[in-house]
Parts: sequence; structure tokens; C-alpha cells
Amino acid sequence: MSAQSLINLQDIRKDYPMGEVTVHALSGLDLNVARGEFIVLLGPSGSGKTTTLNLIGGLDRPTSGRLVVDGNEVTGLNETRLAEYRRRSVGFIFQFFNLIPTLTAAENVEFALALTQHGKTLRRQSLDFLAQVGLQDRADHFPSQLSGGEQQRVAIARALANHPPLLLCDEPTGNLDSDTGRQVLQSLRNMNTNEGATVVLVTHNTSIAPMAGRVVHLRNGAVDKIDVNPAPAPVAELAW
Amino acid sequence: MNMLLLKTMRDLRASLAQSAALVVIVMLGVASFVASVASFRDLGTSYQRTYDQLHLADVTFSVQAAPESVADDLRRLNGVQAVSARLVVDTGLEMADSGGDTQEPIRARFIGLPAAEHPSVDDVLVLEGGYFSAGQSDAVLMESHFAEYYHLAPGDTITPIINGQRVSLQACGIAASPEYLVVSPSKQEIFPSVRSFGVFFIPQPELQRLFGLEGTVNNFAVLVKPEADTDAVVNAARELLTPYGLSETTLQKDQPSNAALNADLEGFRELAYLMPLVILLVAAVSVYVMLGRQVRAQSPQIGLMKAIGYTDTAVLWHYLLYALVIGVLGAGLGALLGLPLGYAITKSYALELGIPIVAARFYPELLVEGVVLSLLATMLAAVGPARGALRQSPAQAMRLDPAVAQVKGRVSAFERILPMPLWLRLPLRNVLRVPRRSLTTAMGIVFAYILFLMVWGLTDSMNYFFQNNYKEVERWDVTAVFDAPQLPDLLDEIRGWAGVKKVEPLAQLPATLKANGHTEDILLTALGTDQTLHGFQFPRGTSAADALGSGRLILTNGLLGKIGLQEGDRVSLDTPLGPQDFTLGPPSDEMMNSVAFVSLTELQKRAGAPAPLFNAVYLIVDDSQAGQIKLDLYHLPGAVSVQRKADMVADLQSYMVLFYAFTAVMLAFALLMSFALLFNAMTVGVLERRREFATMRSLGTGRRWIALLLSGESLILWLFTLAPGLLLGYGMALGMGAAFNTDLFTFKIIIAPATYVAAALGIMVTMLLAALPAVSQVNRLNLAEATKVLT
Repeated sequence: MSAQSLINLQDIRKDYPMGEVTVHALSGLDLNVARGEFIVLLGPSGSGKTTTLNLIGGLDRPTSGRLVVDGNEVTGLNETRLAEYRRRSVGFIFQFFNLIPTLTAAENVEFALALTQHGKTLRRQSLDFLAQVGLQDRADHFPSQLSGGEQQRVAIARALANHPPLLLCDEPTGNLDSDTGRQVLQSLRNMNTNEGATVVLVTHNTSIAPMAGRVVHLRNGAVDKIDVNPAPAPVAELAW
Repeated sequence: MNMLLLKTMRDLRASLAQSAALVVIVMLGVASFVASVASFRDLGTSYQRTYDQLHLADVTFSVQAAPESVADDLRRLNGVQAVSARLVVDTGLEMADSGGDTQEPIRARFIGLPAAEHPSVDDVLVLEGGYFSAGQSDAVLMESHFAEYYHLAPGDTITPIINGQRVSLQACGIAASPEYLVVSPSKQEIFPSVRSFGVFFIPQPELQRLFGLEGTVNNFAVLVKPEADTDAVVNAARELLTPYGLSETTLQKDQPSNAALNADLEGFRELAYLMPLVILLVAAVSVYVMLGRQVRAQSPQIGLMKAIGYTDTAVLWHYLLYALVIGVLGAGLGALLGLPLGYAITKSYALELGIPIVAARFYPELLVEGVVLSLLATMLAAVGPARGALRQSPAQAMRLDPAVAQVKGRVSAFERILPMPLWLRLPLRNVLRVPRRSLTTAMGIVFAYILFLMVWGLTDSMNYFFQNNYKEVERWDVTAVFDAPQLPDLLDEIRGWAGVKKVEPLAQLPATLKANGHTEDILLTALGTDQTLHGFQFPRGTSAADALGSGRLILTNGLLGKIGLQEGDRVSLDTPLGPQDFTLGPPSDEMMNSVAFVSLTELQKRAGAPAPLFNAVYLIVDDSQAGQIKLDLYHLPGAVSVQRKADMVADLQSYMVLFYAFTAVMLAFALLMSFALLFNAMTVGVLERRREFATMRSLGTGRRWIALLLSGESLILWLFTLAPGLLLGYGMALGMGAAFNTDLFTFKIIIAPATYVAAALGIMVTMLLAALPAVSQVNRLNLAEATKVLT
């Protein structure tokens, strides 16, 4: 692992017992992700890309192998330490937004802030994060009052609230139309270039791949090939 | 199989634990209904069969003394079917303890029966040994409760004190009497006391001989022809018996044992219907919550069903079917459980009470009623959620995210009034996000409060009764009653005994009060104006001396209220001294109703006696000497009964054991109900919010924080239900207390402040515990799966 590596997966295997059959979601995955990179995990359904993301994000545990993030061994952490890892090291963005429906946009961001801070500044900070994604005017709206794109941008603001070094995005545009999807991708690009966040984005949509610095192709639970993109395309040029 | 039926069965299986819990609640409701109503009916039938078989008198007359031939005059009256003329005498009885040492004497009632045949009215059922045989003059039949308590058998000897002398009598058998299914000496002594009161049946000629009352009777038990007018018969008999010092007329309904049994049965009846209804209501609430969740979670499936062509009616019936299956399964199991349970309750109740004839039968109509009740409860509860399934168009339903759709997107009034931190806003909004579910859960919690306070309130009230009646009102240690007025010398004699600290005379006469169209049999008690051993409970500013000294009649609040009288009203009393008119004095707030008080001086004046008449005494005694004093009192000529207050209280408290056991069961039930309700609601809530909780955890929210969040929801619900629960609980307790009121007794509901605290804390702890399974569910979530899938 190089000194610039943020994420290091070594021979990661993940098996799911499904009755009498065992599904090998990952069969010996090796991958390094450098700090500040924007990579896309691409592959067909069942290739293991979401599983990889879940393992990196601490939402699941590998069957075997080693995962090191930011110099810390994540495999083998107990639930309390994992919670802390997720709190401080990872920002997760889901396909279905996963906002808390009983909280407003600002409160959803505040919810994440409150995990690591206390005090009267949380409200102001949440508004700042919403401003970063262009939603300061929708701060007091509930998810049921926001469009899909707006919900996803709130989710991004929430994911950034604790300044995680790592942003994990699972099909963030999967539930959005292409225009809204591009807005979301632009927000992610901004976080990467302006804030230096490392972004790992999972998608099955090949049209998104050009925006990444590297595209990791997964097949049958392992890395099939890695494409390096020296000149990532602007988000505006992506079309699907 | 019909596909929707198949889906229903699969849905039931998918939520097996909750479905099973619902079936169990319905089962308990139906079982308790079938068991308690069947048992209530069987007990009533058993009592009636005992009365019919043993010819319990329709009316009993007590006189001072009359020749036996008066019975023939009574038999000739129109409407009279049969008469038993008896001598009934109370006296002391020495009992030996297990070591053979003589204990304090107890009160014994001897009732004369025909020597060679069973009586035609108020017969006895011989359970062991045999009835009297010819020539067996010193034989006695022991009433069964007494014999059982003291482990006596035919052949044993008893030693009553008759006219100051010990007499040996041999028991020829053990018998049950319809007059003493509940063994109580008089109407005024409402709590039975097997330990200190025994009933014996003896050949009448022998009883008369022992007391020097040959040919004399003082009690007529009368059976009225079914077609006759009972009131007319009673009036005619009273007219006939007045010259013989008629002191009491007791209708069957007022007969102490029958009245006690009926009051008990009435209480049982109320519980028999109330408990199952409450349980079924809980079941209905749970079905409502469960099915509501089901409909919300299956919204996309509902959209699909409608999209491919299922009608609204079919979809509606699909969800009603769920409730129908729960109702039918629960009712079936409940009926199977309820029938043997009812029989067991009847048998054990009858055994406990010593009912000699037990009639139990199968009530098919109860099974049908149980099924109907269960289906009503579950189906009615299901209608709302089932109709909710029809509200949206198929397209909308298939797009719906249930968790998001629930939230209307507004801030509650609480938050607008009171700014609060996020950790408080979140649980509050979660409680308010599905108002109907929270409301129905809250209703269930309020029911738990009601049950808790009703039951514990009864216990507090009984404790208050003990405290009030036996410490503040009845302040004596020992009381003795004689069969005739006594001379003042007796007081000096008793004062001189070792251990006697105080003696106060009183007179007790049976009387009948007539006012406002009411007729009430009471015990007229005359006390000295300077007496201290009866603690009147007058309004502030009224002294006992003044109230008694005015010559007025003092009644209790309960009796005044029943008849509709107040201070200053005029009333008539039929007494052994003849009819007497009185003006009512200030009421005494005592719980016993069938008493009235007047001063000894007033009684003396009305009797035209040269000195105050007394036939009873109150004593304060040294505890260590109480046994001997009791024995000495029984040895006084004419001593009919001697009671020690400590024994009365001990007897009562032994009866309370069953009551406390009942209280404990009901309390446990109340807590279990609140646990089950909240468990159901929270589990449903977590199922609906799986993705939300998984998201929180994936953001790094610790398990403890989520546990606090869920507990916070419980606490908020607890806060909302606290005031209505305590208020309604108190109100229902008052209502229940009123149901316990009888002619003899006004039950005061007094709930100690600590009980309210215990109710609140008990239910709060239960609700917090009920949140634990939900917390555990959240902790076990597969985050990877739950964050991706719409629940």
C-alpha cells in the first residue's frame, strides 16, 4: 500500500449463504484507492460492486481478507468502533436517498452533525452545507415536500456534514432523471475537487464512468480491469 | 386454493410471532368470557339448587319468645306452604387447641331441629355421620365450615357454655345448611368468621331443656307458596307474631348468607363481563395496529393487485380475512380453554365456600357468543385499515414509500410553542407521525392505568376500611352482648377484673326504620353521651356528646343517602319497645350502613325505665388478659356473644389473602397488557422504519442513541397517557366501589398517593421494557440490505 492510499482491500472475500447454496459475492478482491481520487466501480448486476461499497462503508463484514482505511484496520472492528468509523470516516449516499422523513432538510443534516458535535452552531452549519448543494431555501421542508433530486442533494449535504475523508455513493442517480442526476454528480465532483473528498461511486450506468479518474470494472466478485482516465469529462458532457 | 386466501396465509406466516400474539390475546378474551360467565351461571344455579333442595325459608321471623303452637297459626295463613318453629340461641363455646389446651371461647349458635325427622323449612344436608336418632338427646350436628376449620369429625365432643356451665355434647354428624353457606352471625356482621363463630344443630327438646325454655321458640322459618303474594303473607305473619315481641323480619334476599353470596356473585358477574371485554378491546387495538402496518407496507402489492384486475371488494376482503382468521383461531382455542376452565373455577369456588350441591353444565350458547364477540372485535378493528388499502390509485400505491408517505410534513403544535433540541423533536415526531396508531396505543395504555387503579384502589380502600372502621370508629378491644338487659352492678363487677381498663355500657336492639317509602332492618345502638369507645365521624364542629345528647337519632351517610333523608327529618322505628319516632341528628360518615345510634338516656326515657338499660358492653383490656376476660364474659349469665376485635381483624385479613392474590393477578395483567400493546406498536413501527434506522446506523449513530430514541418514544407516549390514565382510573375505581355497596356497607374508594405513583412508574417501566425488543431488532438489522430495500 502506498503512502497516499486511503483505502486498501486485500484479498477480500464475501460469501452469502442462501439456503443450500452459497453465493460468492466477492472472490478475492484487491483494490487500492488513493486519497482524493474519484473512482467509479462499474459492473453488471451481481458483479459485487455494491458489496464492495458496503464493506468499505462498514455496513457489512468480509468473510475473509483485510480492509484498511486511512491507515486503520477496519476488518475485525466491533460494532461500537464500526459506528465510530462510519461517523467520522465515511459519508454514505444511497440510491433511495434514505432521508429521515420526520426531519426537515436542515434537521437531516443536523442529525449527522449532532453525532460528533454539540452546541448552538449545528443549525447554522447545516444551513451552510445545504447552501453548498444549493438548497438553503429548502432547509425547512420535509422530504415529502422535496423532489427526488433535492432529496438526494440533502443526502449529499448530510454525508458531508462531518467532513469525512471518504464519500461512498451507491447508484446515487439511479432514481433520478438525467438532468437531476447531473446536478447530483456535479455536487459530488465539487466535493472532490474543492473539498478533497475521496469519492467511490458505484453504478451500472457506463455513461457516468468518464467523469472518474479511474474506472474499476468488476466481474464475478473480482477486479476485471481498471481504466485510468487522465482527463475526466465534465459532468455537463455526460449523457444518458 | 383461492390466491388471496393463500396470500393471507403466507402473510400470517410471515409475521408469525405477532399473528400468534394476536391469536393468544383473542383466545384469552374468549376463554375468560366463556369461563367466567359459565362459572357465574353455574354458581348461581348451585346456590339455587341448594336452596331448593334444602328448602331455604322465603322469610324468617325472630321473636322474643313464643309457644311452639304459634307455628300452627302461621301454617293456617293464606299463602303459607310450610313453617319450621325453632329455638335459636347464641352462647360461648370452649375449643381446645391442637395441644389440648383450652383456647379463648368462640361464639356458637345452636339451632333446634326436629328430633326424629328433617325440618320442612331450612333443612340440613348431612355430609358425614347421620341425623339425630331416636333417644339421642345429647347429639349435635356440626355445621360443615366449622367442622372443617377445627378438623372435627362425628364422635368428637364440643363444650358449649350454657347458663354459665360447661356442657358436653357429642357430634353425631356434619351438615351443610342453606342458611350458612357463608357463615355470618348476623346481617350487620358482613364478613364471615368461621374461626370465631360456629353453628350447631341440636334436637329442639334438648336445646329447650338446656336453656330452661321448654316448649318455647324464638324463630319461625316460613316457605311461601309460589303463587302467593309474599308481601301479604309477611304482613299477616307480622301481625300474628307482634304480640310475641317480633324483633326481625328477614326476607330470603336479606338472609345474611344469601345476601353475601348474591353480593359476591354480582361482583363476579361484573368482572365476568368486564374482563373479557377489556381483553377483546386490547385484541381489537392490536389488530388495528398490525393490519394498518400491513396495509402500508404492502401498498405496492395493493397497487399491483388492483392494476392486474382485482376489485376493491376483493382487496378489502383480503385484509378482512386476516382479521377473520385471527378471530376464528382465537375463538376456537378460547372456547376449548374456557370450558374446562369455567368448570374448574366453579368447582374450586364451591369447594372454597363449602357449597354442598354443585351444578355445572355445558352452555353451547356461550361458545357462540364468544365466537361472535371475538369476530366483532377483530373484524371491526380491521375495517379501518382494510378500507385504507383502497384509498390510492394503483399507480400511486406502487410508487409509495410507506415511511415517507406517513409524514405529512408539518411541525407539531408542541414544537411551535416550546423550542426543543433535535433529540427530543425526533421521538416526538415519531409518536405523532401516525396519529391513529399512537392514539389507539395510548388508549390501550389508559386501559392499563384503569385496571391498575381499579384493582389497587380496591386494596387501598380495604386498608382504609381496616384503619377507619377498626381503629377510628370501633375503638373497643372486646365487646359482649347479653340476651337481656343487665344491672349496673355488672359494670362494677367487670371493672374489677384483672386486665380490664375501661367498660362502657350500650344497648343493641333490632329495629326497622321506615321513611320515604323505604323499610330498612337496622341495629339500634344506644350509647352513653360520655362514651368514648365508638368513634363517630361527624362533620367538623359536631361533638358526639352534643349529637347524642340532643335525643336525636344518628344514622350513617350511606343509609341517609339510600333512603333520601337528611338531618332534621323525622323517621319511625319499629322496636321491641314499640313504634318510636325520632328526629334525625347529624350523620356519621361510617362505612357500615345498617346501624342507628341514640343515647342511653333517650332509650331509658322512651322505655320508661328507672335506670339506663344496657345489654352489651364495650371494654378496653390488657392484651395479655384478653383470653381470660373473654372466657369470664362467656361465663356470665345470659352472655350470648363475646367478640375480640383483634380476632375479627385477623379473620378478615385471612380472607384478604384471596383478595390480594386476585389483585396481584389483575396488576400483572394490566402490566402485561400495556407491554403487549406497546411491544406490538413499537415492533410495527420498527418494521416500517427499517430503512430509516439502518440509515441512522450507517451514519454512525450508536446503538445506545437509537435505544434512547426508541425509549424516548415510549416515554412521550407515557407522558401523554399519564393524566387521562390516572383520572379515568380514579373515576372507574369510584364506579367499581359503588358496585360493591350493599345495604349493609358503603364502600369508600380511597386511593393512596403512593398508588398513583406506583401506577405511573409501573407502567412507565413496562413501556420502557416493551421498547427493548424493538431496540434489539434495530441492532440486528442487516444494514447493507435495509438501506437498499423499500420496506
